[in-house]
Amino acid sequence: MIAIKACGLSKRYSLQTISTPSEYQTLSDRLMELGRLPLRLISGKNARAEHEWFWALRDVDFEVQQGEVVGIVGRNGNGKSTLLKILSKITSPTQGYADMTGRVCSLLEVGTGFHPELTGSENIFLNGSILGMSRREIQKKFDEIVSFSEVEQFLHMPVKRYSSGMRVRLAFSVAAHLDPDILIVDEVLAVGDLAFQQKCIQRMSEFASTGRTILFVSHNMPAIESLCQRTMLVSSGRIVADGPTNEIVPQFIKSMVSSPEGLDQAETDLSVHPRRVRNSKEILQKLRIFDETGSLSTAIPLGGKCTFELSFQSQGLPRGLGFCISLSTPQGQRIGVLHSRIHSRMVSSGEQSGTVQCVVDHLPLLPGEYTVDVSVGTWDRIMDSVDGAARITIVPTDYFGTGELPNSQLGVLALKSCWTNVSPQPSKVWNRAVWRC
Amino acid sequence: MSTDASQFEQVRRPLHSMATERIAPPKGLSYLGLTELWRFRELFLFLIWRDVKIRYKQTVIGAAWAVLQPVLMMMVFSIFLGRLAKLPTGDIPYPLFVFCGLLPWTFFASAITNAGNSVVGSEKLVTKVYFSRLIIPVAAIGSSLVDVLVASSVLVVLLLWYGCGISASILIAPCCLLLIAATAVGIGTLFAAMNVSYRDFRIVLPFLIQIWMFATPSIFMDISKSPNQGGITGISTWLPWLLNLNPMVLLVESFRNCILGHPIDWFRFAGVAIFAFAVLLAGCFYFRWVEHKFADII
Repeated sequence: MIAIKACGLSKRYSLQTISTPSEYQTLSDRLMELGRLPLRLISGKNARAEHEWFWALRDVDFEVQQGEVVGIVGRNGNGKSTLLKILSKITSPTQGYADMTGRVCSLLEVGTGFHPELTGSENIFLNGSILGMSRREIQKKFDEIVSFSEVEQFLHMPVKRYSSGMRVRLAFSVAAHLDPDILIVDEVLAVGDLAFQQKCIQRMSEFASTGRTILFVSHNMPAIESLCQRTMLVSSGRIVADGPTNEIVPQFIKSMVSSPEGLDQAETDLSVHPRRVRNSKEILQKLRIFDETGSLSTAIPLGGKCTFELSFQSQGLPRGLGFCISLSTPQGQRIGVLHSRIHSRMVSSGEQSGTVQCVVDHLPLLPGEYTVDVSVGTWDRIMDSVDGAARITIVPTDYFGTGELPNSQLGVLALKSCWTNVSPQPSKVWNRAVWRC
Repeated sequence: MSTDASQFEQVRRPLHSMATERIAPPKGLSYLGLTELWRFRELFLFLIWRDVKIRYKQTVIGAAWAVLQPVLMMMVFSIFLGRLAKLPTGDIPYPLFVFCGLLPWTFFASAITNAGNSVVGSEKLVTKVYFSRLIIPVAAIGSSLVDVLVASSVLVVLLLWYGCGISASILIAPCCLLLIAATAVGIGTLFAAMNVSYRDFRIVLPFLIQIWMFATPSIFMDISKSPNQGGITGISTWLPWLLNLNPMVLLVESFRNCILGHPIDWFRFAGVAIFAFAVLLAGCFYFRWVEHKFADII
């Protein structure tokens, strides 16, 4: 059975409305416009023609079967949210239609309608009602919501005195107890602390396992990978790819990191580079970075293979040149070096030009951006060095197979480890706690 | 912590038993969507409850403000218009007379103010959740209605204080309030909708209410009597006729007549009732007509 069927769904905005959202059209503008109308009619110019239109969504067709969990990925401002807003009836499409079968519930923001003056329990009722729960439903689930939120003690306190974390937890708890046939979720898991986020993802997967349909927008790739079997990639208001998550997510990641800024280029000309260390001889000519598939890319999947290729050319080069590539955080902290002599006992034998390659089989760095510095020298003297020659982006993958990754404040290394319970009487409860803690 | 999947209904209803809803571009003037309004009745009540609850939060005397406001107004009117200007009120004591007028008027004024600003004030709700938008301004009026009901307790005290008996016609007074509410819904929804696209109305509204108050002299004086019957002099013959165009004149007057047990001009009353419902429908239809644009332009 088809739960959602979208057909030629399009949404057009007037650019005027978008570019100046804070300046509302005043009546006098409107009256002036009316005044000019006869003039315009005479000159044959249409009022509409003065508008510039912007298609936030263009001819979107898709079908979602009942029980499918579909991820929607795409860069910001490419129409993901517009699509969700149309499907949740907040805004109407300009063309096309969508058929929704079953009770729809959308969660575009956590805590919509929370009122700071009301107490926690009052807000549970208000928010639940706004999200489409009936009063009886809320009453029935009230205790569950409260215990899920972990704010029992503060229930009778106005929400304005809550910490932001408590507010988010309470808000999400209400949302987590919705019971629709189709759930539409925008980037809402990005809130709260790590443990709570995990709890929410867990909740969503439980929800999905009961045969409900979920549309899930997120920038959190591990979450998408662990929740959704199918993913749609939205770009410039169109669905450009639709298929199994493990195919679409890498495609999206690749498209995401191709930014026009020079540093992100996978091929860098080093012969004239502004960041060459002063007084060094121009020996290094070119740096190229390849990903697993062997194509030029600075987007390296976490734990994936990465290949650096350095070309050099100069005159009067001595023998015994070693090549060095070092990685640093954007804050300038060195993470490690890849050195041809230290790692592979490889030094030049007097060539005046050539190309060397350095392959890292598993790059165990957590997602983020890293700077690549390159240098060349003999064992006692650096002859040429370019700091910040390139930048690589480590993109998230389900590296640990658990659907989650440590957050970036917890370091840069993706260390693998294996945990087991060795207490004398391992219990089932303990295993569950590992999931939930 | 029990977050088992089992707490969701395990057996899902088969899809073919669920209603399919089509989301499509709006086509012109739509119907009022009463079934949908009914579906959101609980949210409607919750919104009223919220407005009432937060209006007097963190105030010292709380809901007493609902009573105090019209009482203070009554005192001001009694001193300046009753004592100094000596406006005619027939044989009714001025404080009682003016309170019977202020009560429905403050309801009307606060209702259209609250309703007019309600949609713009609920921007977050409008852009993030779907529900029948019409309940926003109507709920704002509902919360004003709660205030007026609280304040009417003073009316009972005044009636007893001045030794006026409570007549049976007081039972018609709620009908008058309902007609005022209907007018307020019509005008409130109109302003709420226009306020979304043109914020000018946020400024126009307080002005309009002030002017409207002066155009509703039945709040503070008896306009039903001609000068030779003891009414005020200096009113030309066309002015009373003109005042008939303002439904609030008659509605306020009728409310007072119900409370005090005076006769009501049923013919004019019926006319105003029809007018009130026409305003109600016009406002709601306009609101529904432009509603679909709210999330984009608010």
